[in-house]
Amino acid sequence: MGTEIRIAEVTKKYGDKTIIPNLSLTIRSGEFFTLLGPSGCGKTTLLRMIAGFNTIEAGSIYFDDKSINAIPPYLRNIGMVFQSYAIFPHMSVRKNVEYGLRQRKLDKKTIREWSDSIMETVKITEYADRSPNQLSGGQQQRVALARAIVIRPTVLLMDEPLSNLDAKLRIEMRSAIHDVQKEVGITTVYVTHDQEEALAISDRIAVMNQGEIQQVGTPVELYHRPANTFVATFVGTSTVFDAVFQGNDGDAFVVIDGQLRVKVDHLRSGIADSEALKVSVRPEEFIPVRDPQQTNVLKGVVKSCVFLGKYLNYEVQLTSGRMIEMSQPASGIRDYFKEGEEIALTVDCERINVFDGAGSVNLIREEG
Amino acid sequence: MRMRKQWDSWMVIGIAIFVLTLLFLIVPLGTLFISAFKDPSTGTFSLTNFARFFSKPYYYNSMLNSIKVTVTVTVLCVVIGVPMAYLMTTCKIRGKTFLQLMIIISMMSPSFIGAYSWILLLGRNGFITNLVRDLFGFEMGTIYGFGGIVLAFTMKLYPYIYMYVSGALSKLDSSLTEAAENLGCSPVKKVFSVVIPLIFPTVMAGVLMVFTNAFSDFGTPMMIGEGYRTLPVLVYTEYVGEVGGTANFASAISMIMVIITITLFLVQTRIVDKKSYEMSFLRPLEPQKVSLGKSFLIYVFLYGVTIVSMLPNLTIVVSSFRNSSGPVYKEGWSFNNYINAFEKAGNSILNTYKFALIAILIIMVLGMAIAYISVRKKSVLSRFLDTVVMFPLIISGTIMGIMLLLTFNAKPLMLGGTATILIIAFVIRRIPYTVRSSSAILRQMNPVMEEASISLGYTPMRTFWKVTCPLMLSGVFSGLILSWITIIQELSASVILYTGSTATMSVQVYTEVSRNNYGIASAMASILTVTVVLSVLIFFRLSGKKEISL
Repeated sequence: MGTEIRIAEVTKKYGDKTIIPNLSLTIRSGEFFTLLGPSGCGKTTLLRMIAGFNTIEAGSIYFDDKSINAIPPYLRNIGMVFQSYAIFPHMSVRKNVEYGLRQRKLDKKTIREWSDSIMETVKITEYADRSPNQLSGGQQQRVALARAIVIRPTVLLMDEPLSNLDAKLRIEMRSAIHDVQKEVGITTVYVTHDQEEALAISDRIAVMNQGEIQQVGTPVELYHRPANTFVATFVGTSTVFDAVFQGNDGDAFVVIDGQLRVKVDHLRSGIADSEALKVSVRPEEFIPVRDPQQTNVLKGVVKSCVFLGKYLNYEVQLTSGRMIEMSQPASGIRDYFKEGEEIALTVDCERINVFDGAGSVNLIREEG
Repeated sequence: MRMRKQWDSWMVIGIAIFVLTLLFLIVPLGTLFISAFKDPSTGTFSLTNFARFFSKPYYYNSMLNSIKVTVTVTVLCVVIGVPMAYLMTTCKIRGKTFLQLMIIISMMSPSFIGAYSWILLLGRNGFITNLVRDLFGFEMGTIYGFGGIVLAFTMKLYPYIYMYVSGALSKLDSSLTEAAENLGCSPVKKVFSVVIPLIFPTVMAGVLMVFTNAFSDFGTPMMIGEGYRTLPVLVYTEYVGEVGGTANFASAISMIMVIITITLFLVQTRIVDKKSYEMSFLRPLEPQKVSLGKSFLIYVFLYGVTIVSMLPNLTIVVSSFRNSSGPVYKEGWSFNNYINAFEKAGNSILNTYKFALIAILIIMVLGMAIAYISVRKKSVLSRFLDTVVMFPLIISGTIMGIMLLLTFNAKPLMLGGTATILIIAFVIRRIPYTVRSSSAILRQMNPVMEEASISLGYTPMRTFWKVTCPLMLSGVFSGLILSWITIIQELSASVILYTGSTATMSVQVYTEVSRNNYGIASAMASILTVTVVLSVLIFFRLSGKKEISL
């Protein structure tokens, strides 16, 4: 039903500056795929290459094995939703939605039916005859979505469509977009810098940095097994520690921050003794240790505590001076730490991630 | 492959416009330049013409006259325009909309007709002159010469300063003046220490506008100057004059004028660049109620200036219905002047509208295309176009006329004496307004709008027609109205380029005045003035705007 997008060794240059060097990626048919990364990472550039607004300096982009490099943007049959909506202010909502259909030489009845049905889907039927400047941001974005989908495009491209909306509307529109995409079943490429949005909405995500893809995976994979420290810190929050490897009778140990020695099971083989490593720990992967006798811990002082209902967020300053973020599920009033209180921490060695010294390769073996 | 073809169509348009610019602007400028350095008797390159200009007081005095007139007018316009704008913005004034409309109309009315009206009022046989003589039995001095030129220019040009400064004041955040008051500034000190420095760059922009207008205007000094010769008059008489007139000498004087204007332009840009501020704008200044005594003075000032500047327009319309013979108006009222005008010079009325309409259509098409290319298709070519097309703003009409005639008075392009050359002059001279306003609106328009249309299957060309064009129109029209109004009253270029059959109303008014046919002149001038006023009113009605963006 949907179209597969295959990006093969694509390069983008502005003058002498290479924005995207030799990038390859396959987006499966019908999937909701997100390009996630900080601003300037090349995600929008890549999206605009698929749309045809940016030239391709090398490599090819295929829709179902058909190269689209030479096809001009207006013949690519792409639905595109823009950050600034780009609703035509001189046309009514209906005229906006019908705009793409009128170019396609369809009879009036079909145009009417298709646009009525899509306006129903995105819930803008009641505004059909309004002028766009009478609509709120969220409504305008619905119009933009309807206008892009109604032409039954090969693929749907969205460039930070929610970033101009306020927080509450963003969450509402997020699920609306997700639902509409699933209903229509169209291959969708979505660009955002908001990792929370990406995790919530996507089937799969490609994390990009400086024009290169850092990792492609499902939201769960990215969160729990980030491919490198960039992904670990960009997707969710992680504290990255320097660590050292210690082998002992086939058991693998990692010494974190020179203090905490933990046994890590699923580590790759072939790591030399005393090799420098990086370890990333998410806030919920720190475990407070109540036993004062225990010395194999990271010690620190609670600097601040924010109660968020379902869990608590602490900022803890370790003895090394390093500030870390730690969270604790809301369990009971007696278990909470107070500001200024001393604290001893260990980590959940099943969940933490271990990387090579440069932080660029995850050394945890994939479990079964 | 088809993408390339689309891109090519804009490329072709761009190159076509480039060629036109080259042919009708760059080449004529070059011709003028070369001509200025040619010895009229030997035809070799030399500085003879410039030497001649600076060696005879008869010539260089006209330059001094020009500078004297221009500087005086500019100072007076600032002195009148800035306080008017300040009072109109900060005080509650009854009839503000009316006053503003009157100010705009006096700005838009043809300046040489203003000069002519001042002669009707204050000239040797003027209405007020006679009135004073009959009532008080004494002779007022004549207004011909320096005084008359300054009066006519000031009353026509102070609105520029007023408009610019009003615009700046309306963007001044009230918290700034309130902060000044909070810090213990007296109202007067507040104006001088906060308001004036902040609007200074705008005042300078207005000053440049007034200066170039006064410096390059031909009709006013020609009508009311009599013996008082300014540069545009000198250029004209040297070019068309039978005694000792040479094109080469006229070109040299033109070059001097262009150099003076460019110098001033550069100086202004330097000053303004150093003194511009970025301001955050939240709340405009609130008009305040003023005490009775003060408000009396304010009303006298505002209404006084406005009425005086509207006087020429009223005079011309009223006198057009008076019976006349030669330069003398007689008892009684009739339509005789109009009947005579239509009989004698009906075709010049037709010409005016015909040429102006053709020119305005060309300006609309070319103006939009140039704006689109320079904003959306950035390249060396487009940057060149963007700059060069603005040149004519600082070249006076007389010079433009001479340039074109020097270039196109020989084969292969023999255009001298045709309507075409007049229309070309109109287009080149007045296209900058439309290009400027069209570019401004395009710059505000997010290109994403066009990409949306392209992604929905429209080719770039169709996108231009379906999306870009309709969204540009409001901006295009605000420039077109200015182009239109200035074209129908064009005199300085037309007077060089016209022949009997291609005369326009402005030219006709000018020649009828110099032939002492005051009746016909005032009838034609009234038609012109009414056309201008109607155009302004219709524009306001259609656009819902209350001002003309300069």
